[in-house]
Amino acid sequence: MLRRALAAAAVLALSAAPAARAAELELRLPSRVIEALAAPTAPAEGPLRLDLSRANPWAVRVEAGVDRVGFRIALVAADGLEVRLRGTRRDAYALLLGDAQPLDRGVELPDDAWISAKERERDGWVLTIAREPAGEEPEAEKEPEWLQSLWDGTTLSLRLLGSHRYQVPTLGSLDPDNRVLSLPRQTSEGEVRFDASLQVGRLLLTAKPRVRLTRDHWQDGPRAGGTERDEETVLLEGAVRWRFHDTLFVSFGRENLQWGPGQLVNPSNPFFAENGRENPVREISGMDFVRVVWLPTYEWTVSWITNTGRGEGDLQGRDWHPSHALKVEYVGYEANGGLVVHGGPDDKTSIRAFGRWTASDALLLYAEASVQKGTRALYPTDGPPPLGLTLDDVRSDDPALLPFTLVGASYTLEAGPTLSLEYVFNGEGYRAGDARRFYGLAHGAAELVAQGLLTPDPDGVPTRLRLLRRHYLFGQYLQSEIADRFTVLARWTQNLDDRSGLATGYFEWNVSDRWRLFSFAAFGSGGSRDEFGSVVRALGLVGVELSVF
Amino acid sequence: MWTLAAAVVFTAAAADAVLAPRQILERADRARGKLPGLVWTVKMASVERGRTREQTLEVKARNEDVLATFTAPPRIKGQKLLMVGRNMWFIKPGVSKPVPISPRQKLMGQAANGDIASTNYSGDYDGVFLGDETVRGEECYVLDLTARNRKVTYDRIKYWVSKSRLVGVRAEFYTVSGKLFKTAEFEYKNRIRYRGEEIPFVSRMVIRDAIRPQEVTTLEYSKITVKRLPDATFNLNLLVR
Repeated sequence: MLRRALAAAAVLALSAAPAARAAELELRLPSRVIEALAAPTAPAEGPLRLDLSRANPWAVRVEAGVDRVGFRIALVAADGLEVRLRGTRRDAYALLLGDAQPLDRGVELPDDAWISAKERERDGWVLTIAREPAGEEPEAEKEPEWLQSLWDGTTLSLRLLGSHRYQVPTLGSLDPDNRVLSLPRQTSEGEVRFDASLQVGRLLLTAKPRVRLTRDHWQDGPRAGGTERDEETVLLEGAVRWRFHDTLFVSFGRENLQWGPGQLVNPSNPFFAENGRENPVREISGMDFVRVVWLPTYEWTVSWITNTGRGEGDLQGRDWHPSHALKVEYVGYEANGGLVVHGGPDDKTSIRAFGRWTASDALLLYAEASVQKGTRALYPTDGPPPLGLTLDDVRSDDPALLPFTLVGASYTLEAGPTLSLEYVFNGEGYRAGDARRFYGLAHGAAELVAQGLLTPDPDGVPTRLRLLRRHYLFGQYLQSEIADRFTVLARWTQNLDDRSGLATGYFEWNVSDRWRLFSFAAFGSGGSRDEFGSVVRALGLVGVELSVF
Repeated sequence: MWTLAAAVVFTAAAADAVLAPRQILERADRARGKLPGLVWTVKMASVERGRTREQTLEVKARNEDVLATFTAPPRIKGQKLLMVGRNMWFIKPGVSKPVPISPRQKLMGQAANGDIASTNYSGDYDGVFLGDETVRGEECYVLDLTARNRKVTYDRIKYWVSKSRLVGVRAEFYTVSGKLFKTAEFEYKNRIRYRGEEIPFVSRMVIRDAIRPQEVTTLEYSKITVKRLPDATFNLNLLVR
């Protein structure tokens, strides 16, 4: 009793101002209950609850769940305070032996409560739980006046970029004399990137207009020696969001919706084939969406997403159709994940998922997957002369489930670099026979283009596939801000089917608080009938960025 | 008078005798941001190889959740670091996708992400009293903190907590091999009003590299506001990139 009085005195002494006085209650765990929890056979839950209720008359609700592995107890006070205790049978046994450690590990309290004393009495354990006085929560954020809200909620930034790109086409049989793809050897680009975000009360407006000036110069093929200038103004992203409530948001506009932990691809995202991780300077253009985001609890988020327009999105040869997705996400203490159901009048219904676990301070483990019946991807099949082959969505009605999965891990070394490794299985991808016919078709078509018998398609030969083949291995090295000045990103993608590979490297030098130099390079290895060896042999880019404000 | 003095001594002795390391850490965590809703500004200055670099962040914190937005210099303005429990993401304007990162990934200089985000020593570490020592003229508990799991930035922390103010004033961070990695010193010149009580709040944290002591990162805390922050503040789906 004296110790409990001392504990109470200590709790009061902790409060610096007399205005705050902690309230207390006692949680009693009778020996009878602990013995039952430690017993090798699971005890009946009814008597357990009864014993806990008798020992803790302050509890208006008592729950006790026990199985062969462990126990979970919850007691709720009249004012809503919930005390939870969980542990294993071994923990219960340790408590019987007088070890308090299981209580340190197993008691869960709300943020404003804490254990101020633990005492072992003859008939069990007694925990004194102190609690901050109620009714003194931090003040809710008041709705500021609209002018003040506009001032506080406006962020503007302006960046100017200039870059020069040099690429070496393979000029092989797939693109003879650059007649099919007509790739420029050199491209100079200037870009104005303006980002604005304005918050007025419950309304949030965002806009990312871009102005680009491009100059292409050809050294190969029919356009050799030619130069072309182009300028374009695009709305990369721009949306309006309305906050109906702190838990309900509706937005409409052009957005770049990216999710999933994968670095190489994100199978869980049905809308965007690219995630922009390869070349951090290149921005991914948004598509038009209506989005409703509901936060039913702290851990769960439910989103309804309708893709209403193509916007500026790069579909990489795919046709655009309106589609919808329901995304349910969970964020736990050290893991998060989500489930996505996607479909539309002209799209296959697919189920997608992603998850990530922070396994340690340095190690992340993650996975993504999608599965659907059949696919709209194009496969080489018999066709009319002169090629004798064509691309068709022959597996559209295929009843087989086609998975697209990624598993990966990343580890941060103490010295700073982060290493990532991923394996991807693309169930829609071409098998060896498909690939052989595909390249036969592509080379045949290229020959006809070279002879002037066919008009070249600027997209090459679209397959609607994110990755052409089925098995990939991917590795990445990232060193951010080495000595606070440099960032190095090196990536290797290995096609395990045709043995071709793609190496990319990104280097960034932060010259000052406003100036940044960057460079990007890519090298493909493999033959003219391999995925990464067939189009561009090498590509290099150097650039500079000025952050004006 | 004697009665009052005796009562004061008795209360202090009682506090000494009864306060468990966990309770001390809970109080010390509060003064570094483990509260149900706070917004503050951190100015980070890092000296490495004789060169000083500065960054400014606005930090919104609610218990263990943190959203840090870089506001200066212009080159990094708009970059965000989101930490929800142990899940962390880095969001960079221009880079299309939020990048999942580990707590160990460096922020700048000697500061790991965990250094600005981690306010939860009481939840992440088990503390044991090592004794009492005086730091800058102030009587302190010396606590030996051992990580409860491998999910924190440092495996072991030696932590000096002021007896009178119950705030952490010095820390030594050790690697798993027992090697001293960094040291940190804290000042608490800020005051915030929380639940009717005026409590100290960290104003300065100085992190030094143990092997290269000339490499120093200073975090200055200002503009502290107690504010209720809704769940949406820490929701990745609703962050403006």
